[in-house]
Amino acid sequence: MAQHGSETEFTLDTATELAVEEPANTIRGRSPWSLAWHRLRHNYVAFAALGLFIAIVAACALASVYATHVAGTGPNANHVLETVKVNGKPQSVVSAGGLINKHTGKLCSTDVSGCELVSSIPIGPTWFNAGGKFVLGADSNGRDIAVRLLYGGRNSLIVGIGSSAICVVVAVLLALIAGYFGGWIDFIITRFFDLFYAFPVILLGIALGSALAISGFHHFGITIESGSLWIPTLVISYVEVPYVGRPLRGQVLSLREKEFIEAAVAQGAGPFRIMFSELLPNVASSVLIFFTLIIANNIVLEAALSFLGAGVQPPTPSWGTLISDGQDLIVTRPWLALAPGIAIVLTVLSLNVFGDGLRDALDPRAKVKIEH
Amino acid sequence: MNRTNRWKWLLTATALAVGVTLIAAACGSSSKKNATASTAATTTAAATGKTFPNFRIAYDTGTDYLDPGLSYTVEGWGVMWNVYLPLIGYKHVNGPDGATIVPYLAESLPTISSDGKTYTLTLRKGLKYSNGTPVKASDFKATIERDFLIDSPGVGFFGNIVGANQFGKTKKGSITGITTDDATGKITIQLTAPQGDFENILATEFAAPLPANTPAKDQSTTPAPSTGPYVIKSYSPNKQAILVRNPDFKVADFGGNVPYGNPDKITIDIIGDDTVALQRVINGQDDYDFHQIPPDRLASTQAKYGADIKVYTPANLYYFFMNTRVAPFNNLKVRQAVNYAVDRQALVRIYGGLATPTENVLPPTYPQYKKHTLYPYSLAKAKALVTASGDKGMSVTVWNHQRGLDPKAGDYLTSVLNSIGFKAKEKIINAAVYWTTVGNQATKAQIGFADWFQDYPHPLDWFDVLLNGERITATHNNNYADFDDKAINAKIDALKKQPTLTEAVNAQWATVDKSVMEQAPWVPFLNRQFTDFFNSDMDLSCYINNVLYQFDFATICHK
Amino acid sequence: MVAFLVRRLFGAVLVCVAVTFIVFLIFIVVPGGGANGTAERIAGKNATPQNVINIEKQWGFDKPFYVQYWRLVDKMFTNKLVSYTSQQKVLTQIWEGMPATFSLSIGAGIIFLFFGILVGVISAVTAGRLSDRVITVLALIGISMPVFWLGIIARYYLAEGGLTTFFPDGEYVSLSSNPTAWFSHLVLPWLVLAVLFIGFYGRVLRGNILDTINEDYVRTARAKGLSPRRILIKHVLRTSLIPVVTLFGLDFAQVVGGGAILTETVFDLHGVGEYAAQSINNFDLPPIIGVTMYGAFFIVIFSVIVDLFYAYLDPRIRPT
Repeated sequence: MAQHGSETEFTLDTATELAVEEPANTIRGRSPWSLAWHRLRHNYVAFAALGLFIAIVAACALASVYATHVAGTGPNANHVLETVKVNGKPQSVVSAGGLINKHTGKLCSTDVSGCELVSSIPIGPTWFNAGGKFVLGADSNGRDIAVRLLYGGRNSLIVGIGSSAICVVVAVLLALIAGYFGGWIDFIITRFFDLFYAFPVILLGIALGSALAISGFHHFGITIESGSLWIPTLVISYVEVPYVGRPLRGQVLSLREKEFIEAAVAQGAGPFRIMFSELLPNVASSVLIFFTLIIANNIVLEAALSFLGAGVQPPTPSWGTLISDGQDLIVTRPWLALAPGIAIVLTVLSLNVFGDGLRDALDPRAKVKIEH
Repeated sequence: MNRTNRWKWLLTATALAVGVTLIAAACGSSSKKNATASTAATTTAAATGKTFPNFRIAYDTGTDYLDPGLSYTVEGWGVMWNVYLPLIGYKHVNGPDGATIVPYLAESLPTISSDGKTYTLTLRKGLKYSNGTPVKASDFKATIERDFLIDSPGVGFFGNIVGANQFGKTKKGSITGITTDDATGKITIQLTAPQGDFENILATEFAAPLPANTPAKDQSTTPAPSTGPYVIKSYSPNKQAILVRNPDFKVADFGGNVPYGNPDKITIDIIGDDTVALQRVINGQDDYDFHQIPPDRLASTQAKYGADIKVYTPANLYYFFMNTRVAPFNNLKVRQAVNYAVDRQALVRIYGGLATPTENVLPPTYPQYKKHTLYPYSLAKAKALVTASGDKGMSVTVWNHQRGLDPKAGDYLTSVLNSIGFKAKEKIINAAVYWTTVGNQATKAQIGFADWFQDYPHPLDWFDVLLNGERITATHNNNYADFDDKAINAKIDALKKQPTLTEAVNAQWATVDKSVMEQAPWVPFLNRQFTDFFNSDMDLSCYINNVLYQFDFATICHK
Repeated sequence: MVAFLVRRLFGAVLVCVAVTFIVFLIFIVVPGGGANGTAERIAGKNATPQNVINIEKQWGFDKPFYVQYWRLVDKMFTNKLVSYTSQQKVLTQIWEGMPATFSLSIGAGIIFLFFGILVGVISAVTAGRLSDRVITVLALIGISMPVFWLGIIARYYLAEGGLTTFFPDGEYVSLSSNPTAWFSHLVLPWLVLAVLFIGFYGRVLRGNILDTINEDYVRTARAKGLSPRRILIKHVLRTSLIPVVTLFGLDFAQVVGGGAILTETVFDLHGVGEYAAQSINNFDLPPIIGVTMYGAFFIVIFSVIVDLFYAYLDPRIRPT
C-alpha cells in the first residue's frame, strides 16, 4: 500500500483545500467518492498507468485494423513457403531446411560427408522494412507474430477482464450472504472457501482447464464447446472466487456490527435491502480495488494456464500460448517469446500501479490485500 | 511466558522446521544408486578389442516398461534388443539389410508348412539365461501365454495362433496351438490361417522367451534374466537404467548374428528436456543423445560438433486421415482436392526441415516402395474439385493432439482447408486421449492428424492394420479413415497369405500403395528424419542404425 | 488450546479428503477420463477388445465411482497406489520428487523472506523519497512478470547454451551427490521464484510498517525518547511482521505442496510440481490424487501452524 508524502493529514488537507475553493456561503457535503476522485486526480503516476492500460486495450481492440491495413494477413494464415521483400531483398518467411550439401546448396538424399544439417527457421523481426509485414517476425507456421500479438492480447484481455468481472460478482454475492446471514450459511460458504484455499491455485486451474478442454462443458443444460474462450474464463473466475470472497466476507462481518445496520433493522428493512442498500455500498470501494488488482492477477494466471496447455486452446492465440510457441525458438528468434511477455508485463504493471493509486485514493488506510 | 522465552520458542521451532525440511531435501534421492563399475566377466567370446567401460545415454521419458511382454515403445525396444533375444531377429547392420531376419535363439529360420499354417523351429542347444538356468523350448510357450495373462498390448499379434484368443478370454488352460518338446528343443506353432508377417511377429520382443516361472506381472523394476549380451541390472523408472554384461553370453552360440557388445556397462539416464540432454552430451556427462537436437540449437551444434551428428530415417509416415464415412470426406473429389491443396514442402519446413515429403503409404526405405506422384501441388485444381464436389462451404473440424510439432501441422491444414472453400476449425485434445477418441466411431472425426511408426518392417503392418476395411472396429479403431474398399481388402488378404517377400510380392504391394492413394483416404505428407548426437569421444565409424531398432547401443566404439 | 488443535486437525483431514474427492470427480466425469476411456488408454494402441475388458476388471473401472474413489484412497494409504501410465508407485514418485521441491522452496523462501523484509523496511523507512519510489517500481515490475516467462528468459540469457553461460541449464542435482552442482543448478530457479514474492512481501510489509508507525503506542514510545531504531525493531517490526509471517507460512506451504509447477517445469527440476503437471497432462488419475493429497496436507498443516504462531505472538488473538 503506497502512501504519499503527507500521509496522515490527507483527509483533513483535502477537505480544507476544497473548502477554500468554494464560495463561502455554500455548504456542500463531500461524499467519500468525490474526495477519492480528488485524490486520484492528483496522482499523475496512477493516471499515466491507466492511460497505458487503455492504450494497450485500444491497440488490441484494433487488431483487425492492423491485420488488414498494416500486415495484410490474419492471425491464423500460414505463409510457410512465401517470400517477403526486406529492404528490397527477398527472404523466405520460413527458410528451407534439411540435409543441405555445403557446396551445391542442394538437398542431400542421405547423410554423407559434405552434407550439413540445417533447420528451417522463420524470419526475424523486419521492423517495418518489409512494408509492415512480419514486423516482429514470423513463427514456425509462417504466421505474423505482430498480428498474433494483438489478437492474442484481445483474447487474453477478454479472458482476464471477463473472469474478473464474474469472479467479483460471485464473490460479492457470497460474501454478502455469508456475512449477513451468518450461522450455518456462513459455515458452509466459509468451508467452501477453505476447501479451495487448500489447493495450489495453479494446480486446480490446470486440472479443471485440462479436463474441460477435451470435451467442453455439457452440464446443467449449458453447452460450451471446448475451443471457446468461455472455458478458461469460467475456470479462472471459479478458481479465484475464494481469494476475493474471504477478505470481503471479513469486511462484511465487521460492518454488520455497526450501528447503521442496527438502525436499518429497526426501521424494518428486510435482508435484501440491508445487503444491497446498506452493506454493499460500504464495501464498494474494496470491491473496486479488488476488481482492478484481480484483473492483473487473472491475466497472468491465464498466461500461465495457456502456457501449460490448460487455458486458451490453440490455434486461438493468447499471450500465454504465444510464449509457449516461442519457447522452442528462444535462442534463434527470441522475439517470439519476448514480445508477448513484455506485453503482459506492461499490462499487468499498469493495472497494478493504477490499482495502487486507486487504493490510495479510496482508502488510504485500507488493509485491502489479496492474500494468496 | 515472558518475552525471552517466547523468542526462544520461536527460534527453536523455526530451526526445527528448517532442519527437518533440509534433511528431507538431502536424503530423498536414495534411488539414484551410484552403481559401481562392474568388472566384465571373462568370457570365451571373441572380444573385438573395442571394449570400453561405460556408455552413457541421455534417453527420453518415452521409456514405458523394461518388460519385453509389455513394452510397446521404440525406447523400450531399443534397450531390450540386446537383452531379451527372441527366437529369430534382425541383423545388426546399417541400411535395408537390417530388415533381414536371422536366427537368434533358434537354430535356423522356421520351417513353414506348404499351407502356411504350421511353423516349426528348433532351439539351439546349451543356451542359458543370465542367472544360469537353461533355456527350454517350453519357455517360449510360457512366454506367449504370459503375454495374454498380463494383457500385453502385443497380444493382437498372436491372435492367429490356434487357441490363443480362447486362452486370452479365460486365462485358464494353455494355448493349444503351441507345442514344444524340451528334450529336442522343437517348437511347433499352429496358425488358424496363413500369415505373411508371422516371422516378423516371432522376432518381436513380445515373443522373446523368458523363464517359465517369470511372474505374470510387470517385471520392469525386477528385471527378468536375459539371453542377450547384456543384463538389466537396475531400472528406476523415469530416472535411470543400468545394463551390464551378461556373463553367460557367447557370440559363437549365435553364429555372429548377435554382437558381443563394446561397452562393458550401459548407463541410461532418463532426461525430460531436449536442451538439457543436448547440453549433457556437449559437457561430457553423457556420450549419446537420444533426443532430437532442438531446431533452435541446431546451427550452433552443427558449427562446433557437426561431425558428431548423424541423421537417420526410421520407417514412419505422418499423414492426415479423412473419414470416408463422414461428409464431406465421403466424397472422393474432396479427398483428392485436399491432396492437391497441401504443399508438402511447407509441412517439411514446419517440421524444421528434417523430413522428406511423400504421398506414398509406405516409407522409402522399404523394398516395396515405389514412388508415385498422383497429386502434384496445385491450389487451382483443388479449388476446382471442391466446387465440383458440391460440398463447398461445409464446416470441417480438424482433430489433433497438443504435443510436439504436430499441432502446427494441424494449423497448416486448417489454413489450407479454409483457402480451398471450407469453414475449417481445429479441435486440439490431450495426447493421452487423442488416439482413443479419434479411434472411436462415435466421435465421427472428419479429418485429423495421424502418424505411424512401424512395429516391424513388413507392409502388412501398414496396410492390414491401418487400411483393411475388414479390421474396422467400433472402438480402438486403427483405420481412422474407415477405409473399406472391397477390392483392396481382398488384395491385402491375398498378400497376407504369402509367407515370404519375393520380388513379385513386393511389386504387388507397390501396386496396392498406388491403388490406395487413388482412393485418397489419407493425405500422407512426410517421412520424418531424426538425429543422433554423440560426444566427440565416440568413434562414429562403428555407428550402426538398424531399420527397426535404430541406433545400436552394443556396437558403438570409443576413440 | 488442545481442543482447538484437535478441532483444527480434524477439520484439516476433512478438507484433505474433500479436496481429493473433488479432483477425482473432475477427472471421472470427463469423457475419456472415465472408465472406458482409461482402460482403453492403458491397453495401448494394438490392444484387442478382450484386453480392454480384462483391464477394466483388473483396475476396477466397472465399479461405481464412489467405490473407485474409496479404492484409490485405500491404495494411497497402503502405498499400493500405482500410476496408470507408468505402472510405478505414486508415493515413491512423490518421495523422489520431494528433495527438488523442498530445495527449491526453502532456498527461494529464505531469499524472498530476507529480501522482502529488507526491501519493505527500507522503503517504509525512506517513505516518499527516491529510494522508496525506485524500490516500489522494481517491486511492481517483479510482481507483474509471469514467473514462467522470467524463467525462460533467465535460461536464455544466463544459462548454458544461451547467450552467456554463467549457470547450468536446468535439471536438479541432489545435495548428497554433489553440493556445488546442487547449488549452481538451483540459483536461477531460486531467483526466478523469489523475484515474484520479494516485490509482494516488500509492499505488504511497507504498508504494515507505515500503518503501525501511526499507532498511538509508537507515538508514546517516541515521546518517551526511545531511539528510532529501537522503536523500529522492538515495537514496529514485531507487529508488522505478524501478517507477513502468516502470508509466508501459507505461500511456503503452497510452493512445497507442488505450487511451484511453473518454475519446476521450466527448469525441468523433476519435483512434485512437475510430476503433478505431467500427471494432469496425461490424465493419470492416481498421481493426481496423490499429489493433491500431498499438497493439501502441507497447506492445511501449515495454516494450522501459522494460526498457532499468530495466537502465540499476539495474545489478543485467541482461536475461536
